[in-house]
Amino acid sequence: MTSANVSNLQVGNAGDRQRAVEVVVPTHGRDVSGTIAAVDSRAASSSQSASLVKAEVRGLDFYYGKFHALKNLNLAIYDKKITALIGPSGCGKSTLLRCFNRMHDLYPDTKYSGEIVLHPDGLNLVGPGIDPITVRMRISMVFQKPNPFPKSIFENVAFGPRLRGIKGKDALEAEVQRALKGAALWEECKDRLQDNAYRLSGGQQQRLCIARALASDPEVILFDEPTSALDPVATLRIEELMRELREKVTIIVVTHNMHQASRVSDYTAFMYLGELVEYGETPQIFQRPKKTMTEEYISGRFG
Amino acid sequence: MSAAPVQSAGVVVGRAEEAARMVASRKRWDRFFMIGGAVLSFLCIAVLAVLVADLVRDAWPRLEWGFLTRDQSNDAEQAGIKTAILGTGLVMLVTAVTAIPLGIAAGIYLEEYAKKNWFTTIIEINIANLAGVPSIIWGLMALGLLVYGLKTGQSILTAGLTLGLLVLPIVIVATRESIRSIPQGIREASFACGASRLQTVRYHILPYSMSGVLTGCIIAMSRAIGETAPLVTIGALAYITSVPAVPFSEKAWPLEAVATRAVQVDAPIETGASGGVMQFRIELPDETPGAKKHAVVKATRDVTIPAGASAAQVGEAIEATPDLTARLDSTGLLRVENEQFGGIVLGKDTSGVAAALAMKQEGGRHGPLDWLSSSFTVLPIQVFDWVSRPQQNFQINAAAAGVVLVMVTLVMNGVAIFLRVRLRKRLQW
Repeated sequence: MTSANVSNLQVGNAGDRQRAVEVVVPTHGRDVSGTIAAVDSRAASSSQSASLVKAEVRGLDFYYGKFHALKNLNLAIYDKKITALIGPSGCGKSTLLRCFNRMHDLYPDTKYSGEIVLHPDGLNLVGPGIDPITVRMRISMVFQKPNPFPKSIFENVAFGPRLRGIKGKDALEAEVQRALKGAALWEECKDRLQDNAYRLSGGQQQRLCIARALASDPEVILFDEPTSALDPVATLRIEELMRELREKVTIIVVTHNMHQASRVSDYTAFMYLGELVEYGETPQIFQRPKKTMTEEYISGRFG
Repeated sequence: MSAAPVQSAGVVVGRAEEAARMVASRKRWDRFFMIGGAVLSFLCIAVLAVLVADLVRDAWPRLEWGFLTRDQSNDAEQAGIKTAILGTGLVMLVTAVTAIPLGIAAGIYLEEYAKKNWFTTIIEINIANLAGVPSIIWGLMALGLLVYGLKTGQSILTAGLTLGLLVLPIVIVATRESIRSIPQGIREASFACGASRLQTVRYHILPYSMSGVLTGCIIAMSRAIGETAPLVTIGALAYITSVPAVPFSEKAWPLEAVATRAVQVDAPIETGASGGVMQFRIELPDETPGAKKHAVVKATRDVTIPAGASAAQVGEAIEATPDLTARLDSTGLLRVENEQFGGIVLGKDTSGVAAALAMKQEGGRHGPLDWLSSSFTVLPIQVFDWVSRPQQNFQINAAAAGVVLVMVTLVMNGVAIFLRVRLRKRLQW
């Protein structure tokens, strides 16, 4: 394997259209022995199975100034599944997540190269001519620390729909109600929609942020360590919610908590120093990791 | 086995005593500092209170409603501060309209849009420096740039723009500080929802920074309201009887003002009422070199103006007088000209006549923004003028106008504090 990395990776359930996929990843002669990617080659080409892969990261590099933060990443994000990104601090998992909605564009001196292709239309999310706003219209995000706007609960959720041109009280109310129900917050706050969002508890605030993300009807929701500022009970509710949301949207979640990754995710990617070390179905990663580094991280020997 | 515990217990006791001594000593310092601080704070407030009380006591005989609504007068007891209050209000209006939008926009640009490079760094350093430029320098700048350069005259517009520039850095700095206190997470949340930069500013940055921005604006205004030096430099008048042009009002020709001023300037004009008729005698001075001006009267012409004449009629009256023509020259001065003796200049102060001639072309009513070019006075200049007069009675007026100025400033600062507390309460992150 001098110029290409080939690996077999079991994805999806047996009998599904997703099965063992042979992946060929060009490496341009560099040694990227740690890089494994699962790209359903048929999914990219045939429309019939395109729904299986929601996004493909192809040869993605990312730089903060001169610092090479992501190194030639290749992986597939599966549709209506939860993909967890794990790894020690500074491994680039949040950096990768924030490539998906072009959050890095807010800061100077950042550079993408490579592709993140969003299916079904094949939009390259990090393409040079692609406006970040078009990307963010389709991919929303929930942050580490609950960050509701200092406005009413209603206004928080209505912000996304308003930006999308939804006007009129009834239409907005319908959107807000749908999003709050989706975030399992409707029952708790249907009588206090005009209260300031900061009067909610931490866990409720985070669910409000999820509702805000849902209100824009996204195809993918990015979760950046969504429970690290919450207590265990609130954490559990968020995790339940994520599993419910999987019915409707594709989720990518960055987490420091390996138990959380194993509890909620369908796929897990383990990253280290900007490289993708191992990527596969969550049970396989946690029970039968192929790389010793993955095994050592999961068993808590480093990181 | 009993020796060791006793020994260690002794050590413990020793340490506890040591700690208690240290704690007591620190507490003494604490109390000393607290008392010292309290005394000094009280002293500051006491000095201020004594000053204000002294001012109020001096001003007492004038502190009544009429003082605020009366026109100026050479009789101290009849003099009021109506023109000064009007002038201050209008100048502040111009200042606010220019400095606030410009300052907020600049602050938003520098915080939310500008990329960090050497150019924006220079702008930032300069804004910090501009805030420290002495106000008289701004006055000199305004005199050169606005009064002489852009020919805005010694007007409310010039004064407002000058003070606007003076307080612009204050508004910019306050806006930036306030914007900077908004957590980055709020911006990221807005952008992640798909908002553009402008939408983020419009729906989030601006509303959440409003308390700080408004506070900064009011502080800037209360700084501007007390400024004297730059306004003296650009030529604010101390004594002014006419109020600024009220929008859409009929232009009046202040006969009295023209008469008195014209006498003071180049061409002597005499007025006299004769059976409901106002009469001007324009004496044409000897223009031979070396001759003492006005000494030899070569010719006189009476210009008869009916009482209550409209401004246009005044201009016509001059034109109708034999041998006299009147025109405005390129610098805005009124020239009354005579074939034999050439021209004489009545000067800029004959605003009524100038207005009358201008009106022949423009019609008889003030435009909505004519007040911008009116001459004016403001409260601090009024105070300064009165305090420099020798008569004791005017000292009382000065004190009373000072009290009014202090009250206005206090109210503005009070509003700033109220806004800060009130609007901040809604924001918590």
